[in-house]
Amino acid sequence: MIATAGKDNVGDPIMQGVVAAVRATAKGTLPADIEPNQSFLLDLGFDSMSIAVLGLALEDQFHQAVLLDGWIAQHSEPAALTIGSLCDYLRSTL
Amino acid sequence: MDDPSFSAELSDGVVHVFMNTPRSDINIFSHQAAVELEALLGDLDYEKIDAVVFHSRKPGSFVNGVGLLMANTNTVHSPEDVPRLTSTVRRAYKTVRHLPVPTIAAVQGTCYGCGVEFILQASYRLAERSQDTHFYMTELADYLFLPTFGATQDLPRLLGLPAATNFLMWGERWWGDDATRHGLVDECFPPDAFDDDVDAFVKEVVAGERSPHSRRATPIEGRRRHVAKAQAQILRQPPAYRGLYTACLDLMINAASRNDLTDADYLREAEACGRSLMDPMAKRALSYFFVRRLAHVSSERKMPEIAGSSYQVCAENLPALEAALVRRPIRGVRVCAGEGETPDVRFVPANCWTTDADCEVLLETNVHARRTAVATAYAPLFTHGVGAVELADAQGSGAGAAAFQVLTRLGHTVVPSNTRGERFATEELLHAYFSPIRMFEGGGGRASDVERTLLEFGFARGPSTLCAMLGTDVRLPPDASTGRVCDDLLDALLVSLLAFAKSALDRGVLAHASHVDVLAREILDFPLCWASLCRYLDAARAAEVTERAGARSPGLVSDAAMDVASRYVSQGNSFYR
Repeated sequence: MIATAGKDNVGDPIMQGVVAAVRATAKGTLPADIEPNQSFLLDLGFDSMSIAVLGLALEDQFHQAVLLDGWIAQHSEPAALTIGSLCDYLRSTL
Repeated sequence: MDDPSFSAELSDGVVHVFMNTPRSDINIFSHQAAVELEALLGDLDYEKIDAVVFHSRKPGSFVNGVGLLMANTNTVHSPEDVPRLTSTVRRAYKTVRHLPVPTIAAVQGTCYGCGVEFILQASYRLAERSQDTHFYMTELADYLFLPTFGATQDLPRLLGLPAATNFLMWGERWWGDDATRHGLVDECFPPDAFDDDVDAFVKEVVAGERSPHSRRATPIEGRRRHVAKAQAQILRQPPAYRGLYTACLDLMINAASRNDLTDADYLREAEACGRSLMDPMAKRALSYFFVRRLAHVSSERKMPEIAGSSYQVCAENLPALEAALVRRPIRGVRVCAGEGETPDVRFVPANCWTTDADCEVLLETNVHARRTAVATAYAPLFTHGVGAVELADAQGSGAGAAAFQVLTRLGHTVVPSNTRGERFATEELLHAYFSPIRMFEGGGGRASDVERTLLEFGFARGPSTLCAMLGTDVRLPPDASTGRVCDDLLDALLVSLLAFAKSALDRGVLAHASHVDVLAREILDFPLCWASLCRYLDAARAAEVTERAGARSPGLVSDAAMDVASRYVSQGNSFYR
């Protein structure tokens, strides 16, 4: 299941938490709306270092220590690491 | 649209290329960066250029990575995938190697893994003599996979097989002077004169007064001797690592024995890298990268750095630390020259500690001499250069914050703890590790069985070696090959470590599971092939181990440890999600 898009996420606590964590972690300018289909690498400017830090920001949101290597390993290429896939991963693990 | 990773400036016929990965604290040689570099170099008019010099605009980082995400995603399905997936970066590296003018890498900042492989493409390599600037091959030492951009082929030919083996296989970290001595770099310059010295060196190159390092051949007899030594060392590694290290050594021997290398040699390395990446062990080792990064960021939150801060530091009664601080200048750290200066932090050993100096931080290497201070840095393996330092600074003192920054910049992994005058977390960890071992040996178990059991699990450094490093036992390590694997001991050890982790986190002595993991990795050498202690002991595995230990290792685990482990199991939550 893919998280629903931007303004429709008001009732989705996982998506809201992910967006907050992304905004807390990103180093550059982010799009006004964070969307499920956006790629961490291609659209949001993340790399392996900042994705590791994202785990701590997610912990702030969900109060559980989060390691993201399991999420990364599910994908067949780095560009496929999207907001939606992270939401799905967190739904299955939290 | 991000800024480009590379920019160039022309000055007196020399093109200076600067790398600065956008939105990153370090330089990463990504696919995009490779495309940009090729385009930039392709646009130059080499009829009008005498040399190309590569620099970093990223403070503290020359080139640190190429694609951990690629390695960690499920991208590699066969060994042949790696040459294809890395083709863009390989092409950019090859372009640098074959430029029609001399190329010089002017290295300031850390140069790791593919960064080393990048500078090997240049005709000349220069390094800054500073703490930041050092060279380290991360692939085997940190991630349990093989390099893919030519290190196994180029290093043995440039450095000779013995030095290349130490650097690539056994994870030696070389600062500027070490790298010069081994032939990895041509010259090493002090920070305050670096730019001028590089310019002078480039002028000499352009004037034809310099020639590149010649190949450092290893004579056949010396090579045989060294290969036998390396093979013996491989046999002392945990069994799970031996195939990987043997593959690396084979590639290096091949390169060292050849007069000329071809594309096929580099392709063979890339495919071997592909095979190593397909091993689940490499995926688990990569997990520790995330753990270590989490630990660092989590520690920084407790000890935030004030932007642009610089620190004055004294360590006059700790000769090893003072020498380390003086030998290689550290960005933002100045060593007090003498009396009359007020340091931000004065590191003192217990026997020199006074009560009236707020800036004093005890540096403990031996808990028997423990004193109470505002802040105490406990590092039982400090003199062995092992990275982890526990910093107990319950009151959040300024000296503690300064100590954190100085030790971090010195290259140590600093773990904040809140011991409230009790034992250090590191002491508890060591007790948790040695307790079942002592009970096992006290019950008649053989030391060689202990060594064999831990080696088979993946501990490359056995308990006898750790005892010797701690100064608590100086016996020769028993021969693990004569021992047998004792599953009851292993289960007891894991339950004991589990109880330590759970207890330290519940009591708030350590703030984060990643801090437990960093201490376990750096102090105990917890095996990389299992990612990390808390990652390994997830709820399911902890339940299995605890149940088995309860059934067959009752005499090896204390009741208190078993109670804590059982509580963790009954709660059903893993340390990490």
